[in-house]
Amino acid sequence: MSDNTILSLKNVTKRYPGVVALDKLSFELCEGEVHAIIGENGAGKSTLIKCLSGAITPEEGTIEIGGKSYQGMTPKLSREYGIEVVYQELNLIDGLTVAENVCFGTEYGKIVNYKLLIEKTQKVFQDLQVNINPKKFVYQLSTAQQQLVEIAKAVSKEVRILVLDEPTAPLTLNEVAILFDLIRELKKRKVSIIYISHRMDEIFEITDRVTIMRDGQYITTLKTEETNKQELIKYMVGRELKDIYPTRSGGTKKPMLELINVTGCGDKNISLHVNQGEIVGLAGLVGAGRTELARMVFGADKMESGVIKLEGKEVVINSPKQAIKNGIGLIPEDRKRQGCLLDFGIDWNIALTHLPEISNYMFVDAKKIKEQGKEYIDKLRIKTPYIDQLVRNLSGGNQQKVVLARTLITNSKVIIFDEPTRGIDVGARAEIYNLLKELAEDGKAILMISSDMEELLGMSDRIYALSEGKLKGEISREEFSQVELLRMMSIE
Amino acid sequence: MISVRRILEKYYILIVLLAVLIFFSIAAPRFFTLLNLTNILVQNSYLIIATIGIAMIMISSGADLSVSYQIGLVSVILGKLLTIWHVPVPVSILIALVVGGLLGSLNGFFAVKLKVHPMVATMATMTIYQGIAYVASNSETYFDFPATFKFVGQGYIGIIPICVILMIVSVIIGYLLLNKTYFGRYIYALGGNEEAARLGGINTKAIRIIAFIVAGVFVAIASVVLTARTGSASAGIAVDAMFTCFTACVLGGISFSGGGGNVLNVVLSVLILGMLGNGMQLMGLSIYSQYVAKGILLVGAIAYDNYQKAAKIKEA
Repeated sequence: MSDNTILSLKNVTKRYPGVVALDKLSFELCEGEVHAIIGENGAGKSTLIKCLSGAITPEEGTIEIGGKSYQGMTPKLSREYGIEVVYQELNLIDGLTVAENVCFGTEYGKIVNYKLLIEKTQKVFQDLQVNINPKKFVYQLSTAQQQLVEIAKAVSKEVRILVLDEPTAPLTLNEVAILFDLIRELKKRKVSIIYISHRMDEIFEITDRVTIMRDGQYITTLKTEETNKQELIKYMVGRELKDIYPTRSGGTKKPMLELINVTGCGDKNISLHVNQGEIVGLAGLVGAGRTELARMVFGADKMESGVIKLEGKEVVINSPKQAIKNGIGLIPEDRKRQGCLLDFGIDWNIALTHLPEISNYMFVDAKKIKEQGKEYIDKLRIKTPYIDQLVRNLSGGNQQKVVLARTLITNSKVIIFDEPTRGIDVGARAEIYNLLKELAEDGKAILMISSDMEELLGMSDRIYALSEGKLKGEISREEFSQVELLRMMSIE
Repeated sequence: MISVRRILEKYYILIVLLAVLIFFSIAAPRFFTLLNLTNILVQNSYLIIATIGIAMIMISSGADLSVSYQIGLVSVILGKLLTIWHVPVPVSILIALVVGGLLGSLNGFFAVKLKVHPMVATMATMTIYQGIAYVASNSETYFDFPATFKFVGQGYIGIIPICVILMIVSVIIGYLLLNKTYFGRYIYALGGNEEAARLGGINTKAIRIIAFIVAGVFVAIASVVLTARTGSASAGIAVDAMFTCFTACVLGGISFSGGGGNVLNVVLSVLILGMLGNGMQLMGLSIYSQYVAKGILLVGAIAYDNYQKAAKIKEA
């Protein structure tokens, strides 16, 4: 392209058994630009990153960097050219201090010189205007702070190309703003940034150019200021996508779930209710205590005080088992670690909770498991070639559906969704929304925790906002506004 | 290439078994005889029974280091009941099984309540059981068991030794329990991902403790078989059992972090270890060189376990 191109991929191809992850992909990065790469899940973004970091070697094509052409990078080579990747899963060491993590891998003498490390880290933090105590241990930090540390760590190594893979996924709006300041700061220093994200708003706010990928192929590169959301989505899915939020009729006035002064796990005196057939949003920043509230209602964590009522009757819930018996379901945010059993088949995952009920004298009715597995795969449109496919091999959206199927099979009346669309691509998102709508129409009461403002406003009948463990307010559909919601979520 | 790997993955244990069988058939002339092979089965029957129990614990991501002295303690109790107090044989066996369940439940209780890794909890109970067994028996060995009792370990039905029949029945029960009942599936679920299992509405603590109790009963059956076969009871009757159970479980594909593996592979693994010992003995190698060989086998099995895990992550 232009003279200041610092990285150029030409016709890069990488095959995995059964899939072409990258299909003759070409890509150019200029010095000092923020370049977004977007595409649905499975478009090949992660494979592209791995090629850059040297984790894998492409089978065909060349990577040109620093005036030289390579068949593939190696981790060492990648580092020499100043390529640093901040992965979605953070790579910090919990039991070490922030300073040790930031300086990890650099020389710091035979005996650890903490003073030097802390000074070094403080300097990096000062430059980036990050406000974290370097003496703290990583496990004491919030996810957002950990993310900032990870970026600081990359920057401290004379980075020239910084790759951010979904950096804002665990961040709240305030923290995103901090991250963006940091990115702008880096841009001033001529660092090139590859920015991978599912969030459209961010792309328009921070990036200069956008490259769209689909099915491992390069689709096009656009100047961010010359395009719009609709166009990007069109390129991503290869078809026009209309408004992805279904129109809904709204719920009844019959309270299904009522919380009265629920206290515990950092939450104080939270009272709210969800009616039958209603979708109620739960807004708040990360750390506001939303997931904690959900886990207490579901019996996963202990409630200190307060009352939970179901259909007007007080219930005592001390374990997830009791919650499920009472008709409460939880679809956790972390599907891989808290939702599914990755090494069990889809059918067994779906049957897990009510296995004892479909057993004769302890012996499981394998035929019944297959039947109901098939039933729910059809019902929830789970995409899979086999009923007994290991859940490990499913996409995030389909894993989510498996957990949902399990919840439905136990006749849940109240279903709590924790970040239902996190990490799920645009096409699959619309499907999840339709499912939510259908569930509400079936008379379920749905409590939806979400950090996606659009999603909250698009799906909810009412929204409660939490901040620092306290209920800050409630707004109904008629009064919905992003400004009002943001005001309630913010920390005083 | 992929299919070759799949076949290797699926039948690796049979391949190892055949390799060991062929090797010793050539290296030790008296190895491949009906008498010797039956002998291996008989000698290892108690280990197989105990290993089925330990496999359940290990699949649920637990561990049991106390198995050797569970066998020892139950054996001592059998010795006292049958040779000193002259309690009827069926009652004695019943008491032995109940004691086995109790020892198991104690293991489970500590493992769950103390919230430490079961490996540590059962290391403590190992010492406790060992101590009790030696104190109770005064470090003595009991002989002169009634003939009806010894029949359990030494008798035949037709041409098949009773201890082998007991072993086969145990294998079948273990297989059905782990693969066909919800209890078994929950054990696998626990090993796969305890938090996901708990959020799925499983009472994970109860399942874990029950797994320890069931394992305790299997171990007690193993103790009955061993005591009856040797016709003697003592605290140190099975000091090597723990190593064999553990190695066989790992060799049989049960991951260190729980989950995976199946009973049949674990059973075959016990036989591999048994053949290894027997074959080396026939070659005139000492018991200590057998230790070296078995240790190497364990290291190899752990390395293979890690390799497979890494391959799985790569695929995902």
